[in-house]
Amino acid sequence: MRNNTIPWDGVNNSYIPDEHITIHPSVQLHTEVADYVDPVTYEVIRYNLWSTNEEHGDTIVKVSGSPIAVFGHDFNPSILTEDGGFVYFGPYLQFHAGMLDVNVKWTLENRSENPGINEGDMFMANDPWVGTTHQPDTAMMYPIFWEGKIFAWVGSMLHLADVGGSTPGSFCPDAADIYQDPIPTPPLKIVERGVIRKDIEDSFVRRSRLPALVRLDLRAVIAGNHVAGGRIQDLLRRYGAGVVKAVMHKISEDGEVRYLDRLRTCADGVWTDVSYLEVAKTGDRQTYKSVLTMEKKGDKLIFRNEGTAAQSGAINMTYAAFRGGVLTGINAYFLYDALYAIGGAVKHVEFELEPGTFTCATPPAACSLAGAIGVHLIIGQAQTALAKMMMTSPLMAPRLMAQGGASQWPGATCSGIDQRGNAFGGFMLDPMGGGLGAFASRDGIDTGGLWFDAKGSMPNVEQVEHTLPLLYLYRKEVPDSGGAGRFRGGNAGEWAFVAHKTSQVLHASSACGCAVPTAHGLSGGDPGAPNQYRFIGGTNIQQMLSAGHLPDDISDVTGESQTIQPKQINIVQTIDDVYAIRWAGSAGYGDALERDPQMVSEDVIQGRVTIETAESIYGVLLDEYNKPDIEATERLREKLVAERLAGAKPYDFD
Amino acid sequence: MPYITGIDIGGTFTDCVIVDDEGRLFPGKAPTTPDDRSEGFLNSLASAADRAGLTLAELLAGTERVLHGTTVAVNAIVERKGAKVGLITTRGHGDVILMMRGNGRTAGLPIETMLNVAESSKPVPLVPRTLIRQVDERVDFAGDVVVPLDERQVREAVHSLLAEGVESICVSYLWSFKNMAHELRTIEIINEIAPDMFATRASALIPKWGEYERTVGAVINSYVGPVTQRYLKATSDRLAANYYHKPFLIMQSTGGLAPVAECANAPLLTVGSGPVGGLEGARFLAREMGIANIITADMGGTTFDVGLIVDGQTVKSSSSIIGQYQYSLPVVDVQSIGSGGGSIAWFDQMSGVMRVGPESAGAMPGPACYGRGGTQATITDANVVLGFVNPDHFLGGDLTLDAAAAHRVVGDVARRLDMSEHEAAAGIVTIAEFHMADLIRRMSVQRGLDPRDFVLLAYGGAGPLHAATIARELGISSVIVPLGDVAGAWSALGVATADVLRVLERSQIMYEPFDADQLNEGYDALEDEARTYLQQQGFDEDHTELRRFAAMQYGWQVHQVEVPVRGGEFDNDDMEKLIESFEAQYARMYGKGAGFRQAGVQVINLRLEAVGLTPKPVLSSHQSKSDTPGVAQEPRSVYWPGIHKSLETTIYRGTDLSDGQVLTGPTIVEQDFTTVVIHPGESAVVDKYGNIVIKVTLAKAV
Repeated sequence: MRNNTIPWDGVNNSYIPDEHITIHPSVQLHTEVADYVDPVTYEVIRYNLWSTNEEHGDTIVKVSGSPIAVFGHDFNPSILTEDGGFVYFGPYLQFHAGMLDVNVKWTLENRSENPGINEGDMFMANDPWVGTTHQPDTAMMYPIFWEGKIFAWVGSMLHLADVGGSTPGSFCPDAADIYQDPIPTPPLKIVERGVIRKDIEDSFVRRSRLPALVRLDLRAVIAGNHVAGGRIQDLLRRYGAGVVKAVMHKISEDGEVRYLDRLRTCADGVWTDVSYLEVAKTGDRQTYKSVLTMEKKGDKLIFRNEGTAAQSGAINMTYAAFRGGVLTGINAYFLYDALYAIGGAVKHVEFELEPGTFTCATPPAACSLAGAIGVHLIIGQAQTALAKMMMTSPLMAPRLMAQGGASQWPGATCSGIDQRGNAFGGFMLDPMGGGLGAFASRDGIDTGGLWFDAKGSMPNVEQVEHTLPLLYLYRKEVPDSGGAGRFRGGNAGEWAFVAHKTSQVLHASSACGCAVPTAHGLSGGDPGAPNQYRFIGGTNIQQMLSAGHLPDDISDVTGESQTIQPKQINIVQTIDDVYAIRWAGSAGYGDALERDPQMVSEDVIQGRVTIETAESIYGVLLDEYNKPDIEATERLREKLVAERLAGAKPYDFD
Repeated sequence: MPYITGIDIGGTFTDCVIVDDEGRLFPGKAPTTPDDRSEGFLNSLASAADRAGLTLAELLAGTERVLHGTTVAVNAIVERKGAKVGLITTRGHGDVILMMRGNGRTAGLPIETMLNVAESSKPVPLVPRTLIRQVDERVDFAGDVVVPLDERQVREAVHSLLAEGVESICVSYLWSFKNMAHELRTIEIINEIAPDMFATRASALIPKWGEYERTVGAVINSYVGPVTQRYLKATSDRLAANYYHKPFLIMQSTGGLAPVAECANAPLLTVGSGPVGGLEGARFLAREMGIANIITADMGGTTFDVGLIVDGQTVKSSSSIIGQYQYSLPVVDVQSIGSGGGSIAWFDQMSGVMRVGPESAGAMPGPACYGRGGTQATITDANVVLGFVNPDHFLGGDLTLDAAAAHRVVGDVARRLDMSEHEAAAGIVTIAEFHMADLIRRMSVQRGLDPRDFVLLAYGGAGPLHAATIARELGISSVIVPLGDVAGAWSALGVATADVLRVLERSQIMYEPFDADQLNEGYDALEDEARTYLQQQGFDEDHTELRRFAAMQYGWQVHQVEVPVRGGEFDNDDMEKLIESFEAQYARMYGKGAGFRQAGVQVINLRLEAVGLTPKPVLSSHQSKSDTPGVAQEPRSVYWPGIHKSLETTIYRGTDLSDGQVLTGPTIVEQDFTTVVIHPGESAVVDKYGNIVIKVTLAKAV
């Protein structure tokens, strides 16, 4: 059941396709399916399709110049059926899982008559209401023709470095609405019968501060599509369309079987996660409630957002991003051994979202921050709701995981004149260090990356300093930043820098999760530490360096501490200003007072937990060698439990 | 007399090949001795000497060069039995190796593991935080000193690491490849305080961009340093005790040999050198036979390894990964998938289909037909069921296979799939062969190469069994199974035929328009160093080669494409040619129009291969026993997956074949260490070196 007061058409509201889409008769779909494929041929073709998708991804990485694609792996290649059903989806940034299928379906419905869909065409799009997390994430879709009909689609989402808008990097924390945001582009035929349309390319690139880079990235995704399209046509020539299509269907059906078998071990019920984001746009001081409710009813999972605050400022997201966040969790928990082939499982996942809320916004809401704010929020909330459900299943409980690091991404874009006198714009990727939340039977992973971006990585400091006029004072793991618990959440990190060999650098921040932690613990585990921006202006750092000293922490320098708001623009940094940014830590699992004191001791010895936290949070007392004093620990823990009980109040259900 | 002797240590056997001055080859084999590998080393020498009709003393007295490939370093990492390492870094950057750039959970792992979040983790640190020391010092991107080295802190760091009982120390500072002074001084201080300490300087090993990969390289070097040194010393001592005092050279992962002393100081160079011997052997054979492009397919018990030779040179990759740790040393690119004889075929309950690998039954219990308790069907079991592998002539008859067990486990798979036993076995083999073909396709196509321009060289226990099908799948028309029974000691032969190689690199970032003088200066500096080195190694100029390469990219890009660069002086007019060759290579790899000229072209890195050309064995055409065509064994029935039926198949023993003999499929040649399969409708010929050359029938292009 969904709210039908506003049509879900991708123009006035997010696009949710009907089960049967309407396509103009000038475009024919190739729907032949073989009745039977022997298991050997199936396995051979299945593996080949996966290799094709991997090669598609390799091509994008190698051709693309943007660090965000190379390090953040903020892209994903896909293979889809003729009508836009997912077959394979790459091992890169996972929340794009919710995007390409709806883009293909919208294109079939709205572009088949005019301008038509022909062999050799490619369509690009970055419209949040049709299907993108935010405008930088751009779809490039390529229909694969066979016998004059569309047999399948290949395509990718790729984050382009700048697609316009108020702020360099196209994360626009000050945008009041979509008209101040980067311009959204509904599906547009950029390649016509094999040739890039210069007029279309130019008009798209014109909006960017980094037109050369955007052109290069467009070529990367076009090249990727050509590689994958060619491979699929090789398969068709060899095995015939019916056999290949049957394999595609079976890949999705396999995913569906796994999903259902595993879901059926969980109890029916309703699970909710409530989170708060702060600061809707530059200058705002409010918090905004996000409610994610998941109902499991038989084979269905139904996601709702009732109770979520109205759309506001720049923190909004659309249905596509919400759905992408949810499918990310389902893939990791349920399809870990099916190469995340979501096409079949997705039929059992429903969304009943309230339009006009900030997690399912309608035009003209600004959406450019959703790639770092909204989608991370929903990934975390869905992950938590799914984890709570999985606790009811002995089969699934060992796989659940508390929320990971960078649960809200501390966005940091910068621009100015670089050390070689050229204009630059950059998006800092250090939070790719992430961290994994605690599992039900083991600790999370310190700076273990983003779990939903298996191949992503932080750039080397040397890479950053080569590109940007900055000198890194440090990049380090932060003890105690992972949520405490019987199993500890992975620690996060912090990086600090000054401007270097330039007069000044202009920064903008775009984040939530600074005031309120967003990585929620499970079963009594503590949340991960929040994001933190620290800025000290007019410091003694240059004197320190001249005297031969480097700080271990920003607190080692003296100067004027300035508050950085989570969505602030025009932050000016000179060589005397030290800026430190910390990304959010991962959440813990279980009660910290039940953690094995030996593990706490080892954490302290290895600098992962401080002695103070060992005592105050874990109730573990250590000797001079940081080995646990078991008796004293037991006494302290008893005392801490008694204090808790003394301060406890019955839960007020009203 | 005189002899060249190559020894290659594998997991199970230590192989040796003696090449005499007439080019005759004498292989030998002895069990690898894990407790003291120098023992197996000497035993394999003795075994080969015996084949050549020599005593060990006679062999060593007549040997000009002992050349050696070892896995000591890599074993230390895999088994986590390396040294206790202390690391000194730039203050503020001590966590570089702990953070692993945020992708330590997944680096280098197969995709199935990456996506399985609940069952994957970062590796246990090679250096724990308690053994990392940070000192004040800082160099910036331009190589300028921002903070001078605080020598007092270095001393304190060294003393405190010594107090912790470290066995080796390495130093890795930010931007040290731009300005090495601080690292050099730190090493001096370490040497002064602890003269016997194994010390590693990151910028010495990897003088280029990327502090994480450089630090990993340095730490691994320190981690494997002491154990490798001990092994190389023990081996050198054993040779000396047998009155051998001539050159002793070690195989490197970069694809050439280096003097033992150099590898003792930089054992990182030997990590991952295992498969290199085989590729060097392929390169040697390619040269002898006048073949430019070869794909090597080495299939053993657990993996299928692929390497490429293009225009007579092995293809390198710019970095390497071991145990989820990535380091940026250019190494011979050998890629693997878990498809070996022991790879397990399993029935995927949920989807009702069959999968093969990557799980392997390994050597223990091994395939069910080994009779050591294996209960799951493997590729080898399938080959027994099909009739490709003769249970009575496995490893030359050393191991009698339990054919009934093979039928039992393959029969289980067949029942689940509702297929005949033969069809199930054929399915297992076919799936594995397609996986192998996909790996080769990806590896070659990724580099802009067309597999059809290559010859497939197959070796290892199971390589020649599957090679023809793989070749057909890729459009490769010729498969070579090399050199009769020497194929069993192929890597040792490769080691014996390798050149001395030193790879020199220099990070040199240049923007358009390129200044030819700057490029000249860069290469001159590398070549000066190279010439000095080769001279020290005793190579006169006629026996050296200097090969130049430049890693280039379009502006804004992060990945580079390496192009060969001609020798000699450049003037500014040549710079356009350099850009053209980069653009051509780029277009080959990524398609026409993928490059974006307006973004500008940059040079990032210069690389020089300094090669000392060693005398090569001259392959004689006297490998075969006789000139009359060999006599076949009893024919047997073999089920052929491609045509789905059984045919009476001709069987030969490898030792019975003679020069020029033509083999018509269906035929199987049973060699001691491998099985060669010639499919129905195809033929093969035994050439004058004893190679079996299979002519593959290709489908006509549609």
